[in-house]
Amino acid sequence: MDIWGWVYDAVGEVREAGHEHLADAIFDLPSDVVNGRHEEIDLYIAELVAEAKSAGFTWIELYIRHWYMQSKVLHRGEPKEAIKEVVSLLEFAYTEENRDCPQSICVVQDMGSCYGQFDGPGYAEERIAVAGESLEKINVEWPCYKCISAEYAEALCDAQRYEECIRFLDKVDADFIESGRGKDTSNLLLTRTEVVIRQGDYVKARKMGEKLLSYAGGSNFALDTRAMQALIEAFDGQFTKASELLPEFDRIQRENSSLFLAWAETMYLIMKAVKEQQTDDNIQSLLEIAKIMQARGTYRQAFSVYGWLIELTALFSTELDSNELLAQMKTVKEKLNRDFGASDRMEVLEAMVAFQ
Amino acid sequence: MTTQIRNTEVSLEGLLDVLGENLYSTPIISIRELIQNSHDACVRRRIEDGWNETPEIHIHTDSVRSRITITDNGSGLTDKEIIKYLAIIGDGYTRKLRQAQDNEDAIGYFGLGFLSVFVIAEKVEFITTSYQNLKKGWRYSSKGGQRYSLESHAKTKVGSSVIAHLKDDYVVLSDGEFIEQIIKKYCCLLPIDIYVNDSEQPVNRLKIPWRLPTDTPVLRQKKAGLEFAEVFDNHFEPIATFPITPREDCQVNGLLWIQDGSYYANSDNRITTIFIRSMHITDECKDLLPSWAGFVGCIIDTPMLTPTASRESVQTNESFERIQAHINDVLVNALASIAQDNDANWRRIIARHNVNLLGAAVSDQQLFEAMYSQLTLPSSEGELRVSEIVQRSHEKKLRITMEISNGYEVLISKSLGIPILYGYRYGVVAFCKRLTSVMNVELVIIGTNEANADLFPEYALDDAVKDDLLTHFDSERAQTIISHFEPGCLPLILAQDQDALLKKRMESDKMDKQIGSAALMMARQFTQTIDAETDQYLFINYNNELVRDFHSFESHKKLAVAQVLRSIAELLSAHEKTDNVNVFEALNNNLKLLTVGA
Repeated sequence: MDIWGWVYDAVGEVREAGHEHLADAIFDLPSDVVNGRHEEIDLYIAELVAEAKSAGFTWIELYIRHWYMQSKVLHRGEPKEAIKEVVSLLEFAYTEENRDCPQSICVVQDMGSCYGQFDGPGYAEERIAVAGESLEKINVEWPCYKCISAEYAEALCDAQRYEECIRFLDKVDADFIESGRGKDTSNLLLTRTEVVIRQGDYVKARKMGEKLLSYAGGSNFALDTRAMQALIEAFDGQFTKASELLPEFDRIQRENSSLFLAWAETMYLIMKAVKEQQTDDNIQSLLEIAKIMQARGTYRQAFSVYGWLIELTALFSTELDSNELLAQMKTVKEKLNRDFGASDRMEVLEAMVAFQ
Repeated sequence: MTTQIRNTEVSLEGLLDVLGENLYSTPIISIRELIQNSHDACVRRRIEDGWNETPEIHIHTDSVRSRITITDNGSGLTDKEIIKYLAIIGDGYTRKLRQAQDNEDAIGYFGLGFLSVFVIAEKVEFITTSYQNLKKGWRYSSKGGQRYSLESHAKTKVGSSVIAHLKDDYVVLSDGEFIEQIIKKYCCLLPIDIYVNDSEQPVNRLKIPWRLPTDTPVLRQKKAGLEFAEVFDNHFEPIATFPITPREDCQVNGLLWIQDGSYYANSDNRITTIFIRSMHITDECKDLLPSWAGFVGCIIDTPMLTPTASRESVQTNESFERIQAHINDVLVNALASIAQDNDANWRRIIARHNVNLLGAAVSDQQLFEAMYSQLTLPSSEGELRVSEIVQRSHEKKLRITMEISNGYEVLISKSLGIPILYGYRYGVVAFCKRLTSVMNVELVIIGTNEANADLFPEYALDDAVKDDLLTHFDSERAQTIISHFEPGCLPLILAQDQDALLKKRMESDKMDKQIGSAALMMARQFTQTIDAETDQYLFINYNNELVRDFHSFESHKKLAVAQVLRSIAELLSAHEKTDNVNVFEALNNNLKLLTVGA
């Protein structure tokens, strides 16, 4: 199944109908998304949707709205603002006229990602079911097989079902090899690397991290790679290298803020170990990340970052009030779908704060 | 086996292929390299010999014999220098001269310049007389560059001539007019006169804006800027220019200009020409300008940048980033200043680039603050300045529609003279979001429940009157709310709750057949959070005469009036394109007739 084939055909039709700008934008949009040009996208997206809608190009409208959700959810991590549009898009994708559009299946992934960002572990079972359901409808010939497999694997990883996740990734790689495509070096390898980190094998993770490569992933995948490599080094105690690899805070904020969690975790590990890094600036960056996450609805991530801030505040003197951090943590905990260890974590941190 | 030390063999033919096919993208580079050699020879003569005559380069083209000859009155070369510097690749004299003398006038780098002529020529002759030995001239000749002959030649004036016998593919370089255009543009900064064929005046004598005497009248400076920019912008006419001047950490001179047109709001028509030490390097380095400046052109001359080996592009290093930041500052400050002056120049710019500037302002806070009040936004009342929009908006609320088709909200707002901003147009929503941070305004996206609550505020009434209205107008389909709004001629509005509609559709049985159960269950997790008892609201306008009198009507008349009004409300809520205000008058007249008839 060539999900891009229809796009090429549609561009011709759109151009022929006199919508030159819309036709040009059809390929510009994905490129802008994967290269982190989100501010530019925000400027033109409404116009594209309106033009596609008024001209009656419903599949193109679906395509544009899906790619905008890729920007909002997958790359910017804004599930709270996006969820209504994601559900509305899902409904639109499965109307009579759009059901056969190959992009429809991708919208399901948008929704899975949205819930994964609200609470990755808390919605893991639902995400596994949703991605599994989609995978039953497609095969390795579909380009979205990789994306949806990645979503499935990420959910398994979030659920800490690591062995199962590796077995699944092995099966997907086998499918790729059998179809002549070769092993994946992008999203699936990224998830596999994350699993190996969580299993504590940093040597193996480092080797995997070195193989990460995606031509279609643009500059954002390059940032994903650097952030993952920095995290590996930080876990392995190579803090200087981790600091060097860690992407600039401003850059991820602008281009790929879905990396906030990886950035924050790496910085937390570095700050815990390296006195020179225990600066107000770094603390403020972590606090800013936690607040942004909370505001955008990535609650489980915000919960983690507030927790790290409490630990760091116990470790060295900061301007932060641990009780206030605990209060924020409780607020986001209430938004989690399932506890998944959150209560135990709170107890430990409450004891830590009480002891201070 | 004993260790053997050997030299690596270099195939010049292969190297030339690499140069011709891969390193240089255009044969014009070869001409540029030869001119640069001539220029550097003149610099050398001045430095080493104290020569103070006028340096000149003469180019002669011969299209019949497919030749181009470049002659200078520079230092010339001795036979030993020919062997050492001309015929050894990568051992450029100019770099040594620059390092030895600490003099930045010479521009050569890699010692590849002369070699590049073999990319375009099958045979090259080089005739020279050095200032070091006025009595003897030399003639170098080579086919392909691999082997060459060197022989005495009758003495000439001090200087050198390169005669390139062009390959068939490059005969265009023997076209005099073509060469003249190239020289005019790419050698305009070189402080040396270049003549082409029989030209009486040097062809590269453009007025360089940043080299004009400081006391040049402003108008003349502007004219020179526009004329200069015009040479470099092949697509658009420059309409305003801004100088780039050096600052402490950034040695760069140059010019920015605004183009007279643009294909589209986010079209990227940036053009940037880079000269390094007066030598043209590239026309393709858009990233030197900020990404939002799709309507801007730029030329710079700087010693700070480092060319790549082909000298067709520059290295993206710290100096590059410093220049980038400097240019960004110059452009932002210039636009901000011109916006505040609000003169004819600014009006010309805004007439052409208002939409581009909306995007630019969103990308740059300083720019936004400087110009937001001057920009216009598309609205139901036409293009309006921000200040006017805010002034005409009710309670400092900016109403925005995301739909091209007009609903009742546009109709009502129009009748009240309140502009509705077209949020589906380029940059409008992002710009308005920024506006909320600098002005005390609120954004209301029409068609949402929030917008309806804002347009139709609930109105407190005596219980008996309220109950009477609710009894006659309430239905299972819509929740009735008594309100008080303008225009008074409109008795009621039926509005849809989009969130509730989404909930209704997603939770319908029909969806079970269309969407997979796991995906649907997940989607319904969201729709279950939508708190809505109904998907329609009927807003009854107590500002309407008929509605106010309703309580006093006979009961049969109440039933009839309520029925008619409800059907009218449904008609109005159809979201068809009904932007004719006269519809209100017609409606009002009908209602009066109904009242009289009843």
